[in-house]
Amino acid sequence: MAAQVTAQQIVERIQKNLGVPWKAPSTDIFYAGKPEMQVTGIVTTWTPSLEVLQRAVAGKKNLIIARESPYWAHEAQEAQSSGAGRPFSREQMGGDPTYQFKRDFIAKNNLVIWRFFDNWNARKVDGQLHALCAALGWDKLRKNAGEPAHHEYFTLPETSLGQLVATVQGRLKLRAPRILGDAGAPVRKVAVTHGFLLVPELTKVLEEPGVDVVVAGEPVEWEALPYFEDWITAGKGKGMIILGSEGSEEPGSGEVATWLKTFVPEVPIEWIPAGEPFWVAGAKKTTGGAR
Amino acid sequence: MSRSENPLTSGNPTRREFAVAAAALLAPALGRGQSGGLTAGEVVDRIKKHIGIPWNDKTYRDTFKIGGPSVAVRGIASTFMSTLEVLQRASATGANFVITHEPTFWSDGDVVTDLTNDPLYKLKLEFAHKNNLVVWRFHDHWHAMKPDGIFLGWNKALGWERYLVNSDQRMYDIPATTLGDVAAHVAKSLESRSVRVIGDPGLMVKRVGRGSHTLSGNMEVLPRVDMLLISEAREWDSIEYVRDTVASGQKKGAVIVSHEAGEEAGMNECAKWLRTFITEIPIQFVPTHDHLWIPA
Repeated sequence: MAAQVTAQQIVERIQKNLGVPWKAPSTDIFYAGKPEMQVTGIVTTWTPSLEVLQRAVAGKKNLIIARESPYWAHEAQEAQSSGAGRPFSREQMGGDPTYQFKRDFIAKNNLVIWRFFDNWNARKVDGQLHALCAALGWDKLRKNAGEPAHHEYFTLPETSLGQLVATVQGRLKLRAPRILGDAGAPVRKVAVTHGFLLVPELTKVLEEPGVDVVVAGEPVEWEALPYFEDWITAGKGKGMIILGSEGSEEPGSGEVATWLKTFVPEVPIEWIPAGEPFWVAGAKKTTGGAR
Repeated sequence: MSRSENPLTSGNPTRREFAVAAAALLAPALGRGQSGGLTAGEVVDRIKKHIGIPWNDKTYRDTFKIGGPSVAVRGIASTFMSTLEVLQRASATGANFVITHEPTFWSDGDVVTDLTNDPLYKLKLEFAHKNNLVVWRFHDHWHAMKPDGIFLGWNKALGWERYLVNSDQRMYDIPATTLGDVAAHVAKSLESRSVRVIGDPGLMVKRVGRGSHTLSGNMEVLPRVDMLLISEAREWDSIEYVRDTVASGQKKGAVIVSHEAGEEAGMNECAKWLRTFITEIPIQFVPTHDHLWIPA
C-alpha cells in the first residue's frame, strides 16, 4: 500500500513549497471534509462542480484542490460593487435542494475540498497566466515570463479578429466565448488576462501602446466591458475575446496539478477540468460539461 | 443592475461626492432661455413629480454624471448605457440630455477619482463638453416604480406580458416549450447574438423565472421554476449554482443574456413614459445595442 498522507499534510507541503510566505487568513481553507483524512488521490480543478466531484469519486480520489468554492459564494468576502453580490452564507442556503444534494454527496463520499486561490496568486510567477498562455500556444512568444505581471502581450502575424477568435476558440476548446469588435478588423498585438477583470487592471493592460485585442475571463458588464467598448469607439483598440471565467482559469488548474506532482509523490494527482458551463443558443449537443 | 440590490436603501455618500465632483467639472455654459424650452433640472423635477414614489435623495446612482441641471435641453435621449457611441449618436441627432440607466464612467458609483488622467475618461468628457451634453442616470427609481420600468419593457419585448404569474413581474407561465426554443425566442426578441444556455436545450419548460445578477437572487427563484432567465450573473457563483442544479438531476435550466439585452427595452419604455409629460422637446430612445457576439 502506498505511503499514507493526510489532507492537512498535503496543505503543509504546499505551504512549504510555495516560494513566498504563506498568507493567512486567506481564501485557502478547507471548505468540506476533515483535514486529517487519508488522501487517496488529488484532483485539481477550477471549480469543484458536482460533475467534477462525481468524476473524482469514480477515480477514487478524495482530495479536491480548487480555485473556486463548492458552495459557489465567496463566503468570507466583503460585498463589492462589482457584482459579486453580498456575502451569502451556507446557513442562508440551508433549505436549497441543490445545496443539500451537493453537501450530502460530499459527506457520503468523504470528500475533502480545499481552496487554493490567494496563495497560488501570491507566487512570483502567475501560474494562471502562464498556463493560459501555454494553452493558447503562445508561451514561447512570451517576453515577460518570470515577471509578476497578471497580463502578457503577444505580437502575432497580422490576422483578422475573426481568425484570431477561431484560433483561440480551437485551442481552448470553447463553445461560447463572447466577442466584442468587428470580425474583419486587422489585429496584431494581443494582451492576455485571466479571471475576473476590473477596470483598474484593464487600464493597466492598456497602458501598453498598440494593443489591438484583449483576451479576458469575465469582465463586469457595467465596468470593464463598456470601458473597452468605449476604447474601441475611440479608435484605440479592435476587440475583446471573453473566454469566460472557466475558460480563462481552467488551464491554471492543470498547472497546479503539474506543480503538486513535483513534491507529492505518494498519491495520484489528476487535473479534471470543470468544462465550460455554457452552450450557445441553438446548439444541438445537449449534455455534458467537463471537457 | 436590478431591483434585488435594494437601490433605495444603498446610499453611499463617498461615491455620491465623487459623482457630484465629476459633474461639477463641466459646469454648464448655457442656461435656459432657448425657445422657452426646459432645463435638465426641470426635466428631472418633472420626472420626480411623475414617478409616483417618494424620491430618495440619498441615491448615488440617480444623479448628474456630466453637466448639471441648468443646461437648456434641446432634446432627450433615453438609453441603457451612456457609452461613447451612444453619446455620439445622441449628439448627432441634436439631443443634448442623455438619460442613462447604467453608469457613464464604468463603475456603479461613477467614481472618477482614479480616472482623472485616464485617456478615455478625458476623451469622453471632452466630447460631452464640446457638445454641451448633460448625462443623468435614472436607475434606482425607474426600477422602483410600480411597475418596474425596466421589467415592463422587458416583458413587452419578449411578448410575455400575458404570461405573468399573479402580476409578479419576475415569473411567467409560458406555453410549454423547450429550453432551447426559449433561448432562440429570447435571442430574436432582444436582438442579441450572445445568448448562452445552461442545461439540456431539449428540456421542457413552462414556468420561467427572471433571475438576478446575484447568487442569492437566483437561489431564491430557481427552486420555484423550470428555468431562469438571467441578465448577467457572476460565473463562479450563479452560473455554477445552476450547473450543479442540473447535474443533481433536477429538471432545470437557464438562459443567460447580456446585461444590455436584459435591460435595453426598459429604456425604450422610459422614452415613451417621458413623452407623456414632456411635450416641449423631442425625446428619443437611443439603443446601446448588445455588441457581443458568439462565433458560430
